[in-house]
Amino acid sequence: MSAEVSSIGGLPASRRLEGIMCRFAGGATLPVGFILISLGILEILARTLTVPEVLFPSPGRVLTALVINAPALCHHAALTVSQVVVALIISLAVGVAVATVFTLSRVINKMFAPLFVVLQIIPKIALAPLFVVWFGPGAMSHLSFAVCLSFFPILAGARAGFEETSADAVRLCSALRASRWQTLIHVKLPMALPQLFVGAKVSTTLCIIGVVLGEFVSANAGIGWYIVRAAALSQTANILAALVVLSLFGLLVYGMVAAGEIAVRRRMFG
Amino acid sequence: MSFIRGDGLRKVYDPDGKAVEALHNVNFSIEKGEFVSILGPSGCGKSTLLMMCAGLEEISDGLLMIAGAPMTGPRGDVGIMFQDPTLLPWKTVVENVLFPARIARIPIEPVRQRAHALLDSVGLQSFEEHRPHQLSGGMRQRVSICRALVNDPSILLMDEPFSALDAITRDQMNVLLLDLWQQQLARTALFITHSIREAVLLSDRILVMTKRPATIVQNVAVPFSRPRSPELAEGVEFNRLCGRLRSMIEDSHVG
Repeated sequence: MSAEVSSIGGLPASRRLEGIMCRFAGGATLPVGFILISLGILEILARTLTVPEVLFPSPGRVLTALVINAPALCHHAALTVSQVVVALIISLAVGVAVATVFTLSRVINKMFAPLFVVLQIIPKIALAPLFVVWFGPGAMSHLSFAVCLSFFPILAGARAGFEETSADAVRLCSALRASRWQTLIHVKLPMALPQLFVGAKVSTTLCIIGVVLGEFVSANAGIGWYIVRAAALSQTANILAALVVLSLFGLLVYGMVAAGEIAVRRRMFG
Repeated sequence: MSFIRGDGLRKVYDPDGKAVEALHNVNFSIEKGEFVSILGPSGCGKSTLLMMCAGLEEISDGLLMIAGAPMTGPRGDVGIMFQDPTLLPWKTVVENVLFPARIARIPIEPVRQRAHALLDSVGLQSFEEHRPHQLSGGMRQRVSICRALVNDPSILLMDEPFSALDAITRDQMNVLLLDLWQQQLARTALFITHSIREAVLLSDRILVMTKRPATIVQNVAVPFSRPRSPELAEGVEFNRLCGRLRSMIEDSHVG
C-alpha cells in the first residue's frame, strides 16, 4: 500500500506539467486546425469575390494591419487588460466580502440576498453612461462599471461554496467550539474555493465586456476607444486586428484564472 | 456521582407541525473511565443522544449532567469522531490532527509532539505529510481518531466511526481502538454502533436502544476483564453474550 501511495504523491512536478502540456496540445490540434482552414477559405473568398475592404477585409489584410499597428494595439490592449485585471481583483474582494457577510449574519442574508437577485434582472449594460456621469470619463468609471457588471457571479459562487461546505465539517467546528469567524476562515472559505473559481471565470469575461464598453462610452485610450475610432474612420481591418489582440489578452487573463482553479482542485482533490 | 448522567431526556423534532419524537424518556449514567456502547438499529435515535452529549443537539426535555454540570453547549474536554472521517482535504495528515489545537488557539509545538506520538501509535508515522485523498478509508478514520485524542479529552464520543468501512478494515480498526483504549486510561467513552460484536469487544457496558419508543431498554455489563485481545471474540462466552444481545434487540422489535 505504501508504494502505491508514494507513487501518487511523488510524481515529479516537471513530469506532471509535461503531461498537462501534452494533453493540451492534443486537445488543441482540431480546433486550431479548423480555424486555420476557415481563415484560408475566407482569404480565398475575399480575393475571388472582391468584397470591398470596408465591408470585409481578408484575413491577410487584418494580419497586415495587426503587424503595422502592433505597438499601438499592444499599448491600448495593455491599458484595457490592466483595468480588467484590477476590476477582477476588486470584484473578487467585493463578491467574497458580501458573501461572507451573508454567511455570518442570517438577518442580513434574509434582507439583502433577494435584492441582489432582483438587481441581476436590471440590464446593467444600459447603466454604462450613468457611470460616466458619476465617475467622469476615464479609468474610474470603467473600473466601477466593470465591477458592477462582474461581481455577481463571484458572489453567487462564494455563497454556493459556503453553503456546500460539508455539514460534518461545520459540526466538527461547532464541537471544537470554533467561532463563526474561525469556521469561515479554516473551513468554509477553503472549501468554497472551487466554486469561487467557477464564478471568477464567468466574471473574467464580464470584466472584459465592462471595461471595453466603458471605453466605448467615454475614453481617450484603450482598445475600446481604438475600435470606436477605427470604426469612425472605416478602418475595418484595424477593428478586427484590435479584436484579435484583445481576444489574445483576454485569453491570457482567463487562462491565469483557469490555471489557479486547476492548482486549487489539484491541492484539494489530488 | 456519575460522570455523565441523563435523566428523562427527550428530543422532539417539529418539521411542518408534525411532532416526531426522536428520543423518549432516556435515562442512563456513565462512570468516569468507562467505555459504554449504545447499540440499536438505524433510526433509533442513538446518534441524537450522542450529539446531545457533544452539545450539538438541543435537549427538548430532561436533564443531562456532565462532570457535575448541566449540559449547555460543546465542551472543551470532548473529542469526537463521526461516521465520515471529516478530514480537511487541503491539509496534510499532521495538520488535520493539529486542527483542534489550532481552533483552540493553544501553543502548537507541545501538541505537535503528541500528534506525532498518536500517529505513530496508529501506524501512520510515514504518512504525516500526505493529504487525505492519498489515504485509504481505514487510514483516514485512523487520522480522525488521532484528531479526536490530540487535545487529550476526558470524554471521547464516537458516532458509528467504523460503519462505512469494509468488514476486514473494520475488524482491524476495532483491534486498534481496543489497544489505544487500553493504553490510555482514565478516559470516558461513548460509542455508537449497530454492530453487536464490535460493542461486546470494546465496551465495559452496553446500552440497548429500541426504535419505538426511542429509548434505552437494557443495560448489559460486559464481564470480560481488560486488557482484552481480539482472540476474545472467538470464545464461547463472547458469542453467548452476542446471542443474548441479538435476541434482546429482536424481542424489542417485535414488541
